[in-house]
Amino acid sequence: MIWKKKESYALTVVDVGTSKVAVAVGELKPDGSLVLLGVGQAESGGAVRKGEIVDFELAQQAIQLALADAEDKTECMIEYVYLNLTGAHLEPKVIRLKTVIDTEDNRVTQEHLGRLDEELENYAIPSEHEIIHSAVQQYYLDNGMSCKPIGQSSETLEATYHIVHGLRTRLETLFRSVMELNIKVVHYTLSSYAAAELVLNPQQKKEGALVVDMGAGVTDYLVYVDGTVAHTGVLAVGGEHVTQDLAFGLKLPFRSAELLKINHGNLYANPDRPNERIVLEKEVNADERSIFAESLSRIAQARVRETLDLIREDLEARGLWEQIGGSVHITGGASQIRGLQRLAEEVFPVPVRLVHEFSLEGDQTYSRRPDLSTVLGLLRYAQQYDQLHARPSGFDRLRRSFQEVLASMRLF
Amino acid sequence: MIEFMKQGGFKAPEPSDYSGHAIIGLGSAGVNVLDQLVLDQRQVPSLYCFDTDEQTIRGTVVAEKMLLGARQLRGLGCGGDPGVAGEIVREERSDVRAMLQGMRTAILVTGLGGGTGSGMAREFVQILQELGVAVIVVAVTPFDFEGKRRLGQAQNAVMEIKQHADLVFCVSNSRLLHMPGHDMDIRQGFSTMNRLIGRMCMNLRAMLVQRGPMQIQLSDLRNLVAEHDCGQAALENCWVGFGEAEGQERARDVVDEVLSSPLFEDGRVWSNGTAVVASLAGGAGLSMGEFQSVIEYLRQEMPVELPILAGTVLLPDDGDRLRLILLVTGQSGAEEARPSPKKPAQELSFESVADDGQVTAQDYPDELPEETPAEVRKVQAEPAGAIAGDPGEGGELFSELPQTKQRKTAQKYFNQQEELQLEKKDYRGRFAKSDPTFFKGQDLDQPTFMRLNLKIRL
Repeated sequence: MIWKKKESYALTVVDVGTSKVAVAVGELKPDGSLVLLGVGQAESGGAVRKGEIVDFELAQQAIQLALADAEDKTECMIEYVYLNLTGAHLEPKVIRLKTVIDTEDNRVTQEHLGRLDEELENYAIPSEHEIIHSAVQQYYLDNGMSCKPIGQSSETLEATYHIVHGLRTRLETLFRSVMELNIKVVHYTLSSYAAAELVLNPQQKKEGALVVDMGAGVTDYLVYVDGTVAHTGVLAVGGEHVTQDLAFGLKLPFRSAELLKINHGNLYANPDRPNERIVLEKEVNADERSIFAESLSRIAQARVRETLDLIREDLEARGLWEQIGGSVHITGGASQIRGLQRLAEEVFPVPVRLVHEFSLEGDQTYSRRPDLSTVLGLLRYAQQYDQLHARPSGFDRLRRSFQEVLASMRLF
Repeated sequence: MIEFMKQGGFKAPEPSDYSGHAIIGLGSAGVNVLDQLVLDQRQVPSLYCFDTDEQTIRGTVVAEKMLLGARQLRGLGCGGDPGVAGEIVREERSDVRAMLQGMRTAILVTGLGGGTGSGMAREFVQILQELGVAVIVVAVTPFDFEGKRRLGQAQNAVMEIKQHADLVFCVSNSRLLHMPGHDMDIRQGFSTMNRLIGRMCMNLRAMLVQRGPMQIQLSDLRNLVAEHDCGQAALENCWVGFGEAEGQERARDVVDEVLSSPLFEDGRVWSNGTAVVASLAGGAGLSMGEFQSVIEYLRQEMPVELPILAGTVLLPDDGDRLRLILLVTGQSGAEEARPSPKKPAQELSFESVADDGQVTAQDYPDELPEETPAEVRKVQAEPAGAIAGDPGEGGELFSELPQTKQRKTAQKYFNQQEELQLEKKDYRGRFAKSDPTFFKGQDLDQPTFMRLNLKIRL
């Protein structure tokens, strides 16, 4: 919500996720710092699967409840929000565009940069897709990379862009679900970006890092190389898959499996006690059941290892591991399962850091909530966007204004 | 009418179930196969013989037989001329039709390269097709040394047959030469071959007739062969191996026997093979667990990783014996290199009858047989150790299985494969409304432990 109160702003962000809808409200102070006021939540109740809305009305209800909860907690009236986007339909690409510098002295001007941006619009993507995000990674002049191309002389100007495109209809669904509640969407970003904003500092971005946000429905990840985003990805496998595997393998109902995972979930069983059993919560009219701890671990580890393997392989295929000088940072609700540090260290070739605690200003009850990584990251992102919006500069200018995006989707 | 199972096991088809599902021998080679079959087994229903040679017809022990071209050829055969044979059949079409009336499926066994078999096969297939019969042809092709003419005739015949039959298996006599002791008694050699072909036909037929879990459907076979068919008139597109065993170790023994089957001695089989059809035959005592062990052991022991299409058939007279027949399909002379190092967990395809979810009481026993599999081979010797792992090994939870052949007393393991066909689609549950997540041919919504065939203790 952009609502002025003593020259402070309140920013509201909404994360429509598989297990819950979370709404975070923060106060943007005049000095640019952000203070968290509160987070409202509501269970998604099956409306969202793998990060995408499958039941529109139910999703709207959940969003409404979450917004109400947030308004309650923060005593703010919410009108404007930032959204996050995720989903397996999102495809990342790195593309390289080129233009000729035809001015006198071959001086590069702002216009040339703009021309490259325009060329991006011509880039061929599937007709049902929309480019929902693009950012310049690096500019190149004749004599190599350049951080500040404007004013320099060169015959040609090239740029690499990291773009993400996705199914238009999925995006429309998401936006409509919020807009039909009379909430205005200011802007949006990718979940992986959001998480990275929360978890990395500029030094770590420069070193190079992989950020993995393990959610209930999807696992988002993002790679920073030398301070710019080199790659993003979404894997439609999340904490729910672990629960489902357990439910299927141990013959439990989903809810029981979920409780089991939360209370006793461990990716490694105790080798000294191979026959250790875990007694499950007794249910009404059912016999008491127990399962082998080893079985729990085996099933869960198989799934989580596979998920991490897929991410590692993706980076391998793109030759990114060599460029990451730093670590893997893992956060998200599903990263809370015991044993993850050890497993991740086995899978990834660089050091691993689990991020279960965030440094926030403001309401500290949420600082140890890795399951809120996305929404809190989104808040951080919104903070930056808000600042940049006022002072457009640098490479994080977005290619098209949000209005244009909406217009192309015929929502506006 | 739904017949209720008495106890455990599956119901073996009665001989009467086989009426309408014929095995037809064409030409002397085909008739010999059928003879061998009758001599080996006590009762084999629905066998038919057709030939132009009177001596063959007179000598055969098969009940239903017909001499073709008695008038024209005077019972002397067509002298290796397929054209003549074809003519004869066309002339006597109505008689042949009358004999074949009422069939639903047919397995045609014939030898190609000569006259009768090559010439008649095509006509027969066509007649059967007109009658709406599903036709599988098992053709025996000539030795390499039989000369260009016979080979050429065989090839033409194969091409023609392929156009009309539902499925064609070509087994080459040359295999015999590659058997150890190929300088053995000629009759022995041939009878081995005949026996093999005969078994193959029996199993194929049982596959078609029988309804029940682990059934391999004709369409599956067809897809399997078609997938790897180069479309040429190859004279060899399958290799057959057979083994039988009884006793406590029968699950393992039968696999050992099959793989040491003389026709598999030739390394080319495995280098050219593209897929494997495993048909396990057993009496009423055959349990799911046993089937599972057989297939797993097979997969372990096969020299090359190949996809396996597996199923069970119940043959009426098997008693305690377990029989496994292995068809390796492929193309001889295929160029592709076979990957030699074994990779973990190939796909195992289990076909369940009840794809529409309907399971009749006849198909499934009330509860799966209590007997636990005699040996569960894929057991980690020290589960505790394997889980924690040495730090040096990286603590792989499901690292390479120990190759030692130590037995482990069977524990009650969650048998994913049993569950697989019963709840094949259930894992979607939570993800039913969303798009499936496919990655490199795997459905990631399916539990990982299932795809990796991990055993889970309950």
